[in-house]
Parts: sequence; structure tokens; C-alpha cells
Amino acid sequence: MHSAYGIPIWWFLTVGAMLFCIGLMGMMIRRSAVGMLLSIELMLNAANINLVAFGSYLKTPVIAGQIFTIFVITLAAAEAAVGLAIVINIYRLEQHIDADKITAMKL
Amino acid sequence: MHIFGFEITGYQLAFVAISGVTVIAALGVVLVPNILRAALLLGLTLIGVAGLFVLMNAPFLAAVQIMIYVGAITTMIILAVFLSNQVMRIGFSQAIYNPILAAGAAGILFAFLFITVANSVWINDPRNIIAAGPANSDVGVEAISRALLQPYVFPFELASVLLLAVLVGSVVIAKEDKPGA
Amino acid sequence: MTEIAWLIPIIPVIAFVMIIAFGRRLPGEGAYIAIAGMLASLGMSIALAGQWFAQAHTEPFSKSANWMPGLSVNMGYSVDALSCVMLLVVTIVASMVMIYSIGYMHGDKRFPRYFAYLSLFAAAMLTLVIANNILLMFMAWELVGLTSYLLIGFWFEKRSAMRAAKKAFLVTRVGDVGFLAGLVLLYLHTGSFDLFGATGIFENLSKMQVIGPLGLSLAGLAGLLLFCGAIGKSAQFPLHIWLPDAMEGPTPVSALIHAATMVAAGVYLVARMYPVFLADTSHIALNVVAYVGAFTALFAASIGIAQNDIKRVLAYSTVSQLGYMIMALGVLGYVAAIFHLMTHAFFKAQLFLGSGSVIHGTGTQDIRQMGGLRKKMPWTYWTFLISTLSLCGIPFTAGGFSKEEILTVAFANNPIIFFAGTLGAFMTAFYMFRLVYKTFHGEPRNKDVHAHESPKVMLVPLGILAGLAIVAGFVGTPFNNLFEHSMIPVLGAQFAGELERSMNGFAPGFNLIVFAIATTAALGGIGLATIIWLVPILKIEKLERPFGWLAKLVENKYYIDEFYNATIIRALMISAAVAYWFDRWVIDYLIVNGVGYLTLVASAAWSWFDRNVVDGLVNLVAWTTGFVGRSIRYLQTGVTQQYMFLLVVSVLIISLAVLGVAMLSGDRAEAAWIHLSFRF
Repeated sequence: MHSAYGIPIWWFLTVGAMLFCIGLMGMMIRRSAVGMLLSIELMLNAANINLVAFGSYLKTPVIAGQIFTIFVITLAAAEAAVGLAIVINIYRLEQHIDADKITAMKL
Repeated sequence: MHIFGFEITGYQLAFVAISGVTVIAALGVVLVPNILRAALLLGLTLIGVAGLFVLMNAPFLAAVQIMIYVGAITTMIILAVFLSNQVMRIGFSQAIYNPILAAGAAGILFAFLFITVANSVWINDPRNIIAAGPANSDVGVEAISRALLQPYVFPFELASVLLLAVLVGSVVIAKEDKPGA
Repeated sequence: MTEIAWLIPIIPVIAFVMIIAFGRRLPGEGAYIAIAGMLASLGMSIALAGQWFAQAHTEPFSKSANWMPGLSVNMGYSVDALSCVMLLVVTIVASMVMIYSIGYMHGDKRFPRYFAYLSLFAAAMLTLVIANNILLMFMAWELVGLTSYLLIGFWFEKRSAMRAAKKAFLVTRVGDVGFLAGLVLLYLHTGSFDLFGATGIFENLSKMQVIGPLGLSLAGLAGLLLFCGAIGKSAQFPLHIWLPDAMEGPTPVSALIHAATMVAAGVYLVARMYPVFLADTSHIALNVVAYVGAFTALFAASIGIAQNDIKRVLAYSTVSQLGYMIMALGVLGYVAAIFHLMTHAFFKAQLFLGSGSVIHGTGTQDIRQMGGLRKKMPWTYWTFLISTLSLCGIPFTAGGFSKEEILTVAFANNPIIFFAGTLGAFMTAFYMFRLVYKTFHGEPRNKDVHAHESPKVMLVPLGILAGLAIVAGFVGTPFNNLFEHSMIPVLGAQFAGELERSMNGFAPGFNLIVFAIATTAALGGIGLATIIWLVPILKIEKLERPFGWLAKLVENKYYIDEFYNATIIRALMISAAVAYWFDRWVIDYLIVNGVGYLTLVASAAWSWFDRNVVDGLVNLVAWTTGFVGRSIRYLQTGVTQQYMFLLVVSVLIISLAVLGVAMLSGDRAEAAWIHLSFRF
């Protein structure tokens, strides 16, 4: 019955790797802080795909894959909330959100 | 079903379709200059990931993904875009930062990861990993809730404390400092 | 009492937390809380010591709680004669310093914080002396270092104070690395952090008898590594450079931390771990200890002669006296060293508090601006004088008894060390009386300094400590050495026997030769200082007097007109200058004051060496760090996207390197994470 699915694990892992690399690329090319946050979300999702894939494909079932994913989603929500709060604050202070121009902490 | 002589199952077709949408949407998130569209495409990507979760026999996670990610986080990001870009006055244009180098680096990394995944001895050993199609369909909502409240109760509580702190923290950060207040 | 002895360090912790939390809202802005806590600890220490010394104990009382069960790491306290003495010293000096600080720190804007830091320091120090576990000792050791840093830099608005605090913290840290290494070595070979008990370090030192290169056994190596920690903390050569700078802190802090307690922690550490040194039967480690101590004692004393800052003189004196204690430990004077630690804590704390009173009264630290303070600050003067006599080792003072015991042991064990000790005693007496004469005797040199006596809250601690500087010695007179009887059993039967064997049957007691030599050295130093600075027999300025009339002539213009002014007077002045120069440099320095001059030159040379070579090495390390930092700074563009790019490139390089190595070695099992035959 399972073989009827016919999807080997490395398909999922490959999609995960794709999303991760796209997110990474976004981190490098996006100028605005919101764009970088979007890319971070992509990378977190890539990690989630891997976690769930291994959780379901292992011979001995591991619930931890899904549990960890739930925690990752929680943390992602937290991170997005704080990140966006900072973005709004920066926008208020500097009238832009370009991460490469925010250099007040630079020596 | 046979296509070009290969035997293709419906699940495989579904996988190809969903992951195709997901990856293309993800590329859009990164490359589309308009940040509002990028945020909307992120929502599409997240829905695609939820679909992949369903294919991996994790329907509960798919629901969580759609509710929290698509419902909450994406909405929040779009709201922040509206707040920070003053839709009417400033355009949504997004300057791109040395894209060729970035694409090259990310591409090489992907090639590397792909070779590793596809050729890893451990992953492709049927003693460790089910060869085709997700198993463990018994991992249902009940199992997840048991796990959350028994072995993982401490991180669970910790996450709730973290969320509270984040709630307060982001209010404090985003609050406008009124002079004299 | 022994069952609740762990409360002694806890009380100051509670005081610390209360003061940090409530600050100025507490009675006396927190000072009363700190003092009440300290007096409670003092009372408990007295009760504990009374109970302990009233009974004849052979084994230390030791109690542990399991801290990290998986690693068999315990946390506990022990009570024995050594910890009782240290508890008393710390609590007495800390109480006195805190009471004194009410007056000294009056009106400071960070008054509560000061008392909070003092309480935290006292807690850490008490933990250090009561711990029965070397890991706990190390933690307390680092904590006293931290509080020392905070207190030296207490007036951090002053750039020099900030620098001094950093210097103290970093320089002592160099020694602490040695301590940590020694601790690890002991744990690896004895399998325990505990000091006492059947599985403790001391019972298992026989496992460390393996002889390594140069005939040094493992135990000796561990001892030397621990001694590195002592070198840092007790400001021994070559890591002594931080202590004189540490005088930037408030003076009561110098009295408590940099005279009486924390700097003595190094001596305490060596004394506490003495079995480790004794287990090294070749005594190589002990000899190193002895020579480092003796060298430091002489070296610091010679620098002390040439200093003009009252606190710096005392600081170099402290370094010198700590060298004395270390030296005593090195020549098997285990009891003598602890005895001197105790007496030194009292009289040196008194001296520092006395100098604080002088600074408080005159507003300057420069002894060239002082003079004649004897009449204006009688209380400060007399108590200071008593402590000075005690420090000089005058017979029948506390310092006299302890210094004599050190010299007696050195006399029996190592003549070179004995000679160094005697010379050190002479120099100590010399510079201390120079300080006393220049500060308190003669006439005020600066009319702008209006000295006044300090308030009573500062004078009472001065008096109490001066009293202790006399009477504390009577527990260990050479005729009936109670101290010796109670302190030797601390080592345990095995190592007490070992110590006795190493002494070759020598029993410390009254020794007329040593007594005569030591007394002569001390009196000689005082005498030399007297004829230079008090009675002007060798007074340098005396020789200027023959030319005083000449100056008067010039000033009056009564006998000399303009023409003479232009010619003869100038010639006279030149010849006078030549004669003055000849007088001052040839007659006075070369012939009359040759000894003093040579001493000054030597101390200047030491000082130069100290400032340029020793400090230079330290500065070189700092400069290198700064240079590397400045060079790498350009990578820190602040552009996150660039960071991400560099990160990805680094990951790629590392991955490819791993892959390349796996391919080159051809070992598939090693590189199981990737199978290089493509499946598709």
C-alpha cells in the first residue's frame, strides 16, 4: 500500500534544499529588511520540510519531527513579530528600511 | 498511469505539481521587485509547503501551517509593508544587490546539497528509511498532543513564555516614543 | 556552630542582594545593612573559631552536597584551623573597613553600590576560605577577581581608574590560567575535586608521584601550576604590576582587597594546597616558590624606597610582604606564613586606612606635599606609627613575632633565603620610616594643605586594627606557639609527618641569633631613615645652607649693583652651581650617602625594568590584539547581505575541503555521508 505513493524521500529533501537555497539567495539580494524577513521564512520552511520528511520516512516512527516543526513555526511567528516591530521602528527613524544603509552601529 | 513509458502514480503527479508551484512561488518571493507581491507569493509558497506536509502524512501540520503561517505571519508581513512603505507615496521598487554572485553561490550550494542527498548511503539504505512513499500514518493529532503534553511539556511551556515576552517586546519596540511621555 | 558555618558567606550575599535591590531606601543608604551582615558573619566566625580551638580536633570538619551528580562534583565547606583563622581575618578587616567607609565614602554618588560590592567581595572571599572543593575555590577566586575589578574601577569616570581596573583583571587572569590547569591536572590524576576525605585530592596524591622531566613529579607540576594562580593574585614577580595601579580605587578598598584579604588569597591557596607541594618529595616546586617570594620581597621593597605617593609606597610594601609569606611557604614555614598573613592583614589594613585618613585630611596623596601632620592628626599618627613598628618587625609586636618566625624557619632551612629575608626586613624598616617621617614629622611643606583630623567613625577602626597589630602576635610567640600547635594538624597526619621529616628535626622556637639579627636589621633600617629624614645628619638639603647667604645677597641687592649683577654674580652663581653640583652629587651621593644612592639607582633600574620590559610585554599582547582588531574591522561593513554571502562562500569552501579530503584519502567509510558513484 505504501509503495503506491511512490515518492522517495530524496524528492522532498531536494525541494527542501531548493527552498533553502532560494531563501539564502534572497537574503543576499534583497535590500529591504522586509524582503530579508521573507527570505528567512523560506529558509525556515525548508528546514520544516526536512524535519517532517525524516519524521515520517524513518523505519521507526519519530514524533519529534512534527513536534519540532510546531516549535519552529512558533519561533518563526515570534521572530516575525519582533522583526517587523524593529522594521517599523527603523522606518519611523530613518524613513527607509534598506538593511545595507542601516549602519548606525558600525564602528 | 504511464507517461513516456514510466509508471507514474497519482501521488507522484501531485508531488510534482505542488512542489513546482512552491518552488516557482519561492523564486518569485525572492526576485519580484514589488515587495507586496513578494509577500503574497510567500503566502502561496507556504500553502504549497502545507500541501507537501499532506503528502508526507502530516495533515495536522498542514492545518497548523496554513493557520499560523498563511493566516497570521503573512498577514502581519503585508500589514508591515503597508505601514512601512506608505503605499500611495513611495513605490514598491526593490533594488537588487549583486544578484549574479548571490545566485551563483546559492546555485553551487544547491548542487552540493542535491548531490549529497541523492547519493547519501544512509538515506538510500532501506534499513533506515522507507524506500518509497511516506509510512507512519499513525502519527495523528492524538499522538502529537500526547507528545506535546508529556515528553515535550517543558519546551512547550517555554515557547508560551517566549511568545508572551515577544508580544510585550514587540509592542514596546514598535510603540511611538512620545516626547515628554 | 560547625553545622551552620556555611551561613557565614551567605549573610553578605543576602546583604548584597538587598542593597542592589533597594539601594538608597535602606537605612544608612545600605551601609548599615552591609555592616550588620558583616558583623553577623564576624560574630559567627568568632563563635566558630572559639568552639573549634577549644576542642582538640585532628580531622577537618567537612560537609558536601552533591552538585553535579553525573560528574561527581560536590559543593561544600570545611572547618579547620586554617579556615577559622582566615574567616576571622576576613570578617574583622571587612567589618572595620566597612565602618571606616561610612566616613570615607560619605557623599559619594554611588554610595550604596560601593557597599553592595564590598558585601559581594566579602561573600566571595569567605566562600574561598571555607570551600572544601577546589572547583568551588576556583569560582570564588574568580569572583573576588571580579569584585576587585569593580571596586578598583569604582570611580570609572577617571580614565586611570578604568585602566587600572582592566589591568588588574587581565593580569591576574594570566595567573588564573595556571590555576585552572593545575586544577584540571589534579582532577585527572586523583579523580576528585574534593580536598578532604578518602576519595579527596589529599588522600590520593600518591597517584601523582610519577617523575617527569627535570626531576619534577606530577604533584610538583600541579603545585607549580596552582602557584601561577597565586603569583597573579598575590602580585608576585612578574605579575605584580597590577597592584600599584590598583591603588586608583577608593582607599578602604585598597585596605580590604589589596592589602589584607584578596592579595593574601594566593598565599592561602598555596597553604591550603600545601600537601600537593609536600607530595613532591624533591621539593622543586617549593624551592621555586621560595625564590620567587624572596626575589619579589627584595625587588618590591627597593622600589618602595623611591616612591612619593603614600599609597604606592604601601602597595609596594604589600607586594614585598606577600613575597615574604610566599618565601616562608617555600622554606617549609607553613605556620609562619599563615601567621604572617594574619598579622600582616591587620597592620597593613590599618596602614592603608591610616593613609586614607591622611588623604581624607589633606586632599593629596603626595608625601612631598605633606609633613608635620603629627600635630594635626594625632590619632592617625599614633595608630599609623604602631602599625609601622609592627610592619618593621620590632620585637613584641605582632609583625615582630611573625617575621621572626619566618626568619627562624629560613635560618634553619636555607641560608640564602634567610639573608634575603633579613635584607628585606632592613629595607622595609627604611622605607616605612621614610614614609612616616616625610608624612607626619617636620614642618608642613605645602601651606595650601590644611590638614584636619578625620571623623570618629574612621578613627575607631584605625584604633582597633592598631591594637590588633600588637596583640594578634601573642597567639604565636616563639616561647609558646599556640598557633603552631593548632595549625600543623590541618595538613593531616601524613603530611604533617612529611613536613616534620623535611625539617630534619628542626623545631621552631626562640633562636637568639635570629632574634638579634632580625632586630638589628629592623632598627638599622629605622636608624638610617632617621638620620636622613628626621635628624638632619645626612640631610641632602643641609649642604645648600652655605650658599644661602649668597642667595640673600642677590635678593637684597644691598651689596651688589647692576654691574656685579651682570658679571660677578653670574660667575659666582655658576661656580656656586658647580660647587653645589659637586657637593650634591659627588660628596653627598657618592661619599656620604653612597649606600642610599646606590639603593635609589637600583630601585630606579627595577622600576624601569618593571615599566618597560614587564609592562612592555603586557602592552605588546594588548597592541597585537588591537592591531588584529583594526585590520579585521574592514570586513565588518555592516551590510548584512555581504555577511550572508561570505557565510555561504565559507560553507562551500569547508564542504568542498571535506569532500576533497575524503576523495583524496579514498576512504569511503570515513566519508560515508556521500557516495561518489552516481546512481542516476
